[in-house]
Amino acid sequence: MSPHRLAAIDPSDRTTALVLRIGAAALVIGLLAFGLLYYTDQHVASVPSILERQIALTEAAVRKSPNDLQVRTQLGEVYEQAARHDDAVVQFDQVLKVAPNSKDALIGKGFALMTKGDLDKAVVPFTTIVSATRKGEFAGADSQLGAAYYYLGVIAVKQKKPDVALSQLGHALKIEPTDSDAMYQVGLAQLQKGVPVAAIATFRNALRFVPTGWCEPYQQMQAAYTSLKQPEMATYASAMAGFCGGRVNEATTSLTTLTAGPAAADAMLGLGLIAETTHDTKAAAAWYQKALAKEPKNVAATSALAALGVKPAAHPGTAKKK
Amino acid sequence: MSDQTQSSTDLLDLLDDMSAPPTPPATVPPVDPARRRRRRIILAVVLALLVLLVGLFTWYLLNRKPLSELPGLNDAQVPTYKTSFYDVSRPLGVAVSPDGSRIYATQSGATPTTFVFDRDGTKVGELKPPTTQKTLHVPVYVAVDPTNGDVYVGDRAAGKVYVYDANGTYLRTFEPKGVGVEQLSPLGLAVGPDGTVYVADVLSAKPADHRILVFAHDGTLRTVLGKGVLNYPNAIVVGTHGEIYVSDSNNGRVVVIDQTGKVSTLIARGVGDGDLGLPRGLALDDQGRMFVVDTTDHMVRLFTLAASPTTHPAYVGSFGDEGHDDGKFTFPNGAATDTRGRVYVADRENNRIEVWGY
Repeated sequence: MSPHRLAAIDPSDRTTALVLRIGAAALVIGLLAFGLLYYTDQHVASVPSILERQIALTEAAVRKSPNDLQVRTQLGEVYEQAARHDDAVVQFDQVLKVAPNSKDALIGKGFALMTKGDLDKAVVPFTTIVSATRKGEFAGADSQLGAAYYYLGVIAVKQKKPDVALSQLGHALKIEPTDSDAMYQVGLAQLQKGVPVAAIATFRNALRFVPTGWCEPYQQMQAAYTSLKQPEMATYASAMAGFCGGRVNEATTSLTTLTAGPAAADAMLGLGLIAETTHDTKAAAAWYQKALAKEPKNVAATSALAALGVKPAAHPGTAKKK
Repeated sequence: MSDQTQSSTDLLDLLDDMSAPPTPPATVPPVDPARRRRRRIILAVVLALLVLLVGLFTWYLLNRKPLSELPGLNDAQVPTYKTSFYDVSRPLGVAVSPDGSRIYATQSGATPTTFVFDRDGTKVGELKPPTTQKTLHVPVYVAVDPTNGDVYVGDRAAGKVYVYDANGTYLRTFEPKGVGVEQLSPLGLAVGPDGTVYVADVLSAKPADHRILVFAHDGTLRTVLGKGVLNYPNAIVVGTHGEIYVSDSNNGRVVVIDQTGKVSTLIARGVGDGDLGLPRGLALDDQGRMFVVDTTDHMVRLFTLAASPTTHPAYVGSFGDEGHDDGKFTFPNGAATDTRGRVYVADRENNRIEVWGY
């Protein structure tokens, strides 16, 4: 700056400049101070999650007792929970080196490989379990053998091998006849095989054991009914999937419109279920009675009424002849 | 003029001239009104920002809340997960000291007791039942007296309410005085701003016996509320108009009981948005936000209270979900809020206290 220009700044300008400089400095310092205070005051130190704590504890246990197969299997399982599939496989392999027929380690390894997406390799440990135990004295009640069959079925479904899947899942269901997950997989295999009517019956069977909070069977039923060109039934399945997904009002409206057509009995059962989940047992019983009036031999309606402790109303079609 | 002054003046000139093309020094007039005006505008802006900063500083030092809680901002928001306090087995109840520096959590698993945590989650004390009472102890809910910071712990197995000071020293056993309150089975507890003590009493399995007992600070029974209409009342919180909110657990609802004793359903059971399953914990913060712990849905539902206590609160949303990861719950039970934008939830089956905040 030239002396000429400096001389041109009068005293009030100098005061303004001084205040401006002090103000700017105070603003910067104040902002920094506030930021520091806010950060230190509000900062929350992160702590290890439950799983991280469990991993740390189990790793420590393995370090303490490296030859303890149970602890090493547990480590594989917690690694798998943390989606550390490769680490889990390493631990299960360590166990299998010493105990090649350890079903816990074989299931753990197979599951880790399956979850990782290595389906061909995952088949091996499950098949090892089946080969070793299928002819055993307690094979019919061996839940780990059942699990091996189930996962072999799941892998076959993923690999689009429905015949293999149906065979493996059939074995699984012989051991656990009420396994709704296995039933669902059977339904998927039946859809892949091109028998949607059978698939629908299987999905319905699975839903008998888990009637609420499980959306996938309803979604698959919707697709199956659509392929069978049964729009009312597809709408019913869609409404039930909506109910399962929390869209209760939408489902209620949709089901109510179906109470006069070919999907009437199912829609009434669905409305009863919705009423039941809202603890309106009176309305639920009324819907089940209506469904029973529509289809006097409807087992689902009879079971639902029995579960509510309500006696089915007598209908002309069900009255005994004297 | 020193070099320092000259360089500062150059900086000001540079600021002034940022929006204008550079002018040769020889052509600068002795007084430039436009430049002076600009400089004064900048000064005004800086001063205004300073005032705002001072205001912000003052507000923060007085409240110590996150900036999202600044007045005028939308407070109808769901909090976010912050951290968890571990090393507590099957916690059921949780409470916070008035200044937010102490968090009390009951432990119903392992050795039943009540732990004191600091704000960072470090265990700093323990509220042990009196050694003179040789009986089974299961502390359930805990409450803090806002008038003096004393801590009330309801021990359902012993049928007592124990009182401790803020640091965890046992002071006394709460002595109910009145007809029909010789024996208690306390669930929820609350202490009002006037020292009134509220106890949710479930002496038998029959809902007809379930009630809210209202005591004066010295234990004299003032009144009995909700008898015959409540079914396992759990948490109690005191509202700003003298009303109390109760999670009427097995009826699947939250009720408000006004000063006349009238019970009104505020939030009910159902499967729609904001409907309840099995409500347990209840907390109300200073922004009028009500947190309802839905133990079977494994989440906390958030509502904002209306101007009138009996008007249905507005549903804001839910947080949490079933699971073991951070920010998930497995059968959560109690809840508490502090005045600094934090929400504490007793995550029973995950053996931790989850901390959520704004």
